[in-house]
Amino acid sequence: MKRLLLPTLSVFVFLSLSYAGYQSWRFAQARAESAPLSAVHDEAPAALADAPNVPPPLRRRHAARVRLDIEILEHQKTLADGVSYTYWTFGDDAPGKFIRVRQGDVVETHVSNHPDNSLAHNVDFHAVTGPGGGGDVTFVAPGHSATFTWRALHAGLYLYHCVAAPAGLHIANGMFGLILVEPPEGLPPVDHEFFLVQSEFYTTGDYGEPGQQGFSMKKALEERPEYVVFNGHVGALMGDRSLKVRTGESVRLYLGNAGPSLVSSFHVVGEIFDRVYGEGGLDVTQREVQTTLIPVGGSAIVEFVADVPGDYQMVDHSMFRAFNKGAMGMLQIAGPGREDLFSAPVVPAVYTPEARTDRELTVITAAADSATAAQSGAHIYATICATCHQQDGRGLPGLFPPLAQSDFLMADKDRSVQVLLHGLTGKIVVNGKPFDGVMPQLRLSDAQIAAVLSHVRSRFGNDADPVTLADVERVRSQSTRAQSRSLAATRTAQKNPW
Amino acid sequence: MKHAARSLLLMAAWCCPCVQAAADPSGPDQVRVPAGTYIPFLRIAAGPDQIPVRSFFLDTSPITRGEFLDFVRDHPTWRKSRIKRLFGESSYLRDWHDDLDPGTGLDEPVTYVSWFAARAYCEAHSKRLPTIAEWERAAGSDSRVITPPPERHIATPVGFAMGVPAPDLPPPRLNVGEVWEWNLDFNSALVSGRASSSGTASSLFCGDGYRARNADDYAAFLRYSLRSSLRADYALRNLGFRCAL
Repeated sequence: MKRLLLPTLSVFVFLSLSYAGYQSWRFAQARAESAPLSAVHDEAPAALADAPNVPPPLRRRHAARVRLDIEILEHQKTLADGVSYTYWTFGDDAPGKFIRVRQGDVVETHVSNHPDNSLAHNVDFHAVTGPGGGGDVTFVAPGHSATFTWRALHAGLYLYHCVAAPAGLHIANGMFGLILVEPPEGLPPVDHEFFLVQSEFYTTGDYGEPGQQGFSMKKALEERPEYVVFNGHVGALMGDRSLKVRTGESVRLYLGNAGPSLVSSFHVVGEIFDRVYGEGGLDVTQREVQTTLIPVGGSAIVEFVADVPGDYQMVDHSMFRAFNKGAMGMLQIAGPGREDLFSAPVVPAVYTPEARTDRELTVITAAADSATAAQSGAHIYATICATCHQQDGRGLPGLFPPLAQSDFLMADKDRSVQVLLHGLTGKIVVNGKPFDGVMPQLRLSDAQIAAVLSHVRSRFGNDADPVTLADVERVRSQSTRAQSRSLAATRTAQKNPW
Repeated sequence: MKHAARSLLLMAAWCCPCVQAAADPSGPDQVRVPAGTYIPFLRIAAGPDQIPVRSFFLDTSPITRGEFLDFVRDHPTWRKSRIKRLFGESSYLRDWHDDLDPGTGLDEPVTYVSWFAARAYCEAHSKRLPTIAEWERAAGSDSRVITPPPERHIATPVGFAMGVPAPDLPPPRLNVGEVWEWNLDFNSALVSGRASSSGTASSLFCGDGYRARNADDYAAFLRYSLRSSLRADYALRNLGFRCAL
């Protein structure tokens, strides 16, 4: 009995002391929070960053007084290629800057409505505990500013937006952003942090209709946007502006949804979220998640490790929004391949039950410019290329460039070979129209490249000389980088029952 | 024969005094707005659903910089350098070079004027500012059906929200949509029927949407929203005025 008494007693004492310590800590917290806002004197600069970047973790051990200046602008911006729209923004662009403060911080907020603006505006911070989230007290006429001070009581990821009437219109015109209230201990360190806000535009014209677009209240009432975009513009996270990380690095995405209407089913094609902080709270609510919801007027945080190199599309998995209305971004993971995780011959095999595939392979590699090869070129085109460039070679406006009578294709034979050898990423102009997408590297064999290029150069109204096997081999050998790929491609071709 | 015709004309004029009374008393720069009804955009619990608006005269265009120059020449207290801060904030006539030098654009609407100055101008011309009910009756037509001309749309993205003439106005044409305009009772429309913490509903938010007559008339929302953000001493780049009688 005595032997048990001492350990029991010490455990009891330990627990009591712990509890007392916890209580006094709680009391100190409560006292700090009940002190007047003016009692917080330590000043700290506001931590801000433009999309898609996030300011670094604060690493501050104490609450501080943070001055936050927000300027409201009404100005013309590009919504999509050739499409302009009058944006209303917090700062220079939509979304507004990402704001990072610490739980307990006293945020002195100054909201200025630029004198050249036409309308009254305000800000409602979802991070604010108080009437209207600050909306009432920041409501200002053009050429005026308003100030209010608030304490960041609750940690989490919050949306901020304009709520001047009609609120939906102000949000649909670009007035939103994200604010992160860090817990005192911060968040677990990661290699990269980015942010992304989904929102909708209700233009008078159809998707892609060029020129200055007005706002359609009818489409807004029907919740039928022409555009659903990430970070305020079609292509804000595409091409040069893709998110770039390396293999093995950990990534945290801060996700917001300004709406004003549609809930987002956020998904990264080919990536699984290790952890999701549901609805932007600070508990990990779920692990191993494929798609997470971002409610309108809400947020979510996801974390994952970039394992396998490649291009990863970030989408609202309501797919017509992603592929037809703009809700797509790109994450580029660079680094050495991970054959232990992902290995594939990139060219899909053609499955033709009747065909003697072994003979076909021989024919292609033997004579790229024969009639049979042209037939194989047609085969390759129909099964691989036509998915994007369409069966008639006309592509899709704004998305996939045409091959039919394409000046870009015809101008330079060697370049067209290079595109097939290495893929093509970024801005190009085809027949006067800009495109900014990704043509994947297909890893076709040299003979297959010769066959499909010869096919394309003689169809769709094109009339040019064929590409020979020798042409492809010459272009391939010109690039040392391409040589290792040549091996892989040969291997691929051998594995391929083509 | 000539003589006879003149007599006939004179007689016609004498016989029909009613025609003369209905004519514009102050020249071709005013439109006679027929009597009508104003349905308040925001319903107030104790307020009427409809407000009758009597026939009145309204300037066809906002007051110009040239006209305002004449006014400050005659009334020095409203000059840029002389105005009391209480009656006009520091941006009052900000785009004027000097007290009596508005620079260019004498035919353009005067802006950067306070409510006090606008009211004084109209009073000096034996007129007054139109009330919200009058202004909305004449120029606040539901603009959902209006497609603004593209060039205007670019210049002032909310031009159409700034006003559209009512379809039943007689000529001359009412010229609206270039600038916001002061109303006599600009700050009264949104005083809430219920007490709020500050005593006045100084704002118009989504929460007020349920009170709106047409929650999808966003042009009206923008007008009321702008009005409710104003104070009488404010002087804004795109806020002018016209007078009524």
